[in-house]
Amino acid sequence: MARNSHTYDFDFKWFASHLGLLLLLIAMIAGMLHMCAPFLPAPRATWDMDRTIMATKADLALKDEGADIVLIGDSSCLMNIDASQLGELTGKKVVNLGTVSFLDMKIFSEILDRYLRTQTKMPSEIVLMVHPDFLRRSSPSRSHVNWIHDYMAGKDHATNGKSWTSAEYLFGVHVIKGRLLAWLPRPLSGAFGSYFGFTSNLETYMREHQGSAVDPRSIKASDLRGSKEYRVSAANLRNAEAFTNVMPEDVQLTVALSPTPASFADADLTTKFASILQEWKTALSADDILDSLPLALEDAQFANKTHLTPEASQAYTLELSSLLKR
Amino acid sequence: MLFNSDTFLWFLLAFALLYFVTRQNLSRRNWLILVASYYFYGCWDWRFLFLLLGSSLIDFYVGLAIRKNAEAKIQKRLVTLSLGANLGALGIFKYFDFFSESLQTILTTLGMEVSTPTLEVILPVGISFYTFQSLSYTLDIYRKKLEPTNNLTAFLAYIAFFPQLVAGPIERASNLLPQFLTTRKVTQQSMEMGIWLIIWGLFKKVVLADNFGALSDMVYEDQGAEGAIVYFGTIAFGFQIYCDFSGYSDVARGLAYMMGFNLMVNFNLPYFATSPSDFWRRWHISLSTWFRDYLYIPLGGNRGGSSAMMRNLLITMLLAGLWHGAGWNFVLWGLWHGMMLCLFPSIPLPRRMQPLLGWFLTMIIIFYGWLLFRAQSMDHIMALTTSLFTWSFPLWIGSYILNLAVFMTPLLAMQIWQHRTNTIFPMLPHNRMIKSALMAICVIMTTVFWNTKGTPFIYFQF
Repeated sequence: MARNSHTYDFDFKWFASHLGLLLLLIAMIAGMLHMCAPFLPAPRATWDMDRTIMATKADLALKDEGADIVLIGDSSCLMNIDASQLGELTGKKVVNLGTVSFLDMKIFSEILDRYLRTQTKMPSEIVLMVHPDFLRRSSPSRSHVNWIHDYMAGKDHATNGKSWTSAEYLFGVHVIKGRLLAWLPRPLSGAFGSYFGFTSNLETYMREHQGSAVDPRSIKASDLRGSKEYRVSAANLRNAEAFTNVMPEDVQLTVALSPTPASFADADLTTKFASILQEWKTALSADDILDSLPLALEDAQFANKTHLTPEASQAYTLELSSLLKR
Repeated sequence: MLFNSDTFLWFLLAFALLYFVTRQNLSRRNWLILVASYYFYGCWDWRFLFLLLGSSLIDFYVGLAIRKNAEAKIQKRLVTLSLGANLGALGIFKYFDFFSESLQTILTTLGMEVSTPTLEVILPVGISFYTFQSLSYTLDIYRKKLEPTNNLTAFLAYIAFFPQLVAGPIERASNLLPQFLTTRKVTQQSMEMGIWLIIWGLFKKVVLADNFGALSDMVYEDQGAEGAIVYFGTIAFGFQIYCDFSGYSDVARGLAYMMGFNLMVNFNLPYFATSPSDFWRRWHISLSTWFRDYLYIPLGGNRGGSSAMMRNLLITMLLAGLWHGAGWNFVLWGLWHGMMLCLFPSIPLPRRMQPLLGWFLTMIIIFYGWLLFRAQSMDHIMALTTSLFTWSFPLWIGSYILNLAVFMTPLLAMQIWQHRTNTIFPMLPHNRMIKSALMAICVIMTTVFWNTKGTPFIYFQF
């Protein structure tokens, strides 16, 4: 006869009651979190770099800045232009509402709309600057879009939506992350950590630089990755209308493309980008295009395929200022 | 497969169901443990299952052969075969490239242009752990401290036991193997301890270690870090490695308890140590006792005067350092500890202040050791050591200290409670509600910081 594997010196009722109590307490804590959420600080789960950027820009859009020039766009707009430097060079007040390239034109238009509704004085010019890579993208990152939607609406955000099948929502984790632990600065990783430190420091930096940031990474030209295919996706052409709809009538809309590394530029880049800019201008019903900005720069001036190094962004801002002075 | 991943939770659920189904039969349960353990290991890389199996089979048959052959000469040959096979595998997979590259560097420095061969093989996860566990079996049989088993399934399951396969505790056959051969007893207390160890271990890994890790990476991944932040970064790493490794050991012990096994305690409040030797009685106990029993004592231990003892300590700690990784910083770390074990007793400390001063000095020694351990190269060690004597602060030091304080608070609170009550389970005597509330808070906080894919444990690389 086979030998018994185990003897059990406890009864399963005891085990079930212990486990049951644990689950009951977890449920009670979760229930309390759900119930108390409205009385806790507003949700602001800026636990990483992207979310810190998005929250800071959504907050900045609620400030009556009275800027003359508003920069808006993807992360190339955020990192490649120093709004405070641009303000000094042009003698105009500039604000940078550039966010991240994981979003799309619809979100850019919502941020812009949020900004314009807050202002007592309309800007004279809005510059939409995106990288050619952004134009090719056909869909945004759903998690980024959901996050910023919830943030702008002042709602708690749960990664997988507010479904009772999601452990995060069920346990009230989103309330802890967004409301109870939001005050805790989170360390940024890699070069961003060395340069900025924590999420709170990045936020302070952006506030002090009128919404701009820098990309402190350094990369070897051989490590630059990406595609050489440049075009405007159908989704971007469709979503351009949303952006056009929020543009005030008497404000000039200027569109521009961020530069690409020289190794990603074919011989016909100038012609190609000129036609892309024209197509983009038409889709947005823009007033002007900044086609004399450099379309490609030396690889050494890039921190990654879309972001310039801090030094190169200063030079690029200088070039932009000469065009915006007019 | 990581303990702190969704995949492991599903694996565990399936295993628990099958474990329940096979409860009437010891042999079937051992088979189940064996298959589950091999599946667990194979999820990482199935090719290295052959290495695990090969190493286990050699030791199993060497064990039987030692018993069969009474002649000392043959027994010696057999144990040499076991040592050769286990250390040979370790040498090939872990150390070959290191020694080959080091030789090339030395020869190049001497002006000889020689290209030494490298194997460039990946390091099988947990190889240092299971080879040492397997070796202890044949060594104990050779030293007549253990009878070999005839039960191959139980032996293979003992070597591959999935809770402790990849990062210990390194179990002695005399403790764990008999538990595979007899009816196991699961008591109310072992169930309670098991649940608590799993919850607390995961909390330590997911909530504490990973957050300390993000802080220490800010300093150690930045080659330009200097001044005060190096001190704080080293403290962060010291707590990261403790929470990471002891968290793993806790989960391993907790799983084992719930399965009716009893694994050895691997950590006993190491940062409460008041001397380096006290530290090594509290830190990675299964490894330090392994080196004590199979290396330090056979070398002569503390017999033969102080110079012999110092030599034995230095050799043991150097090899213990090298066990951790194929890198000069690990060698240096081992030597540093060896030197401190030799020198510390001769430091005159006022008797009244001994515990406090002893603790303070020990912590300086231990944490400087962590700097050597975490640094990426000898140049990095030099730069970090030099920077300890400069005094500058990054702008974000406030946030850094705040983060350290936030994540150290629950750990220190628990450890002080454990220290005062002199038990790893200070909450057990308390009423059900307090225990469950504490566990519920740990579960929720673990869910807050849970990463579905899990972040690897530091000791997996060893």
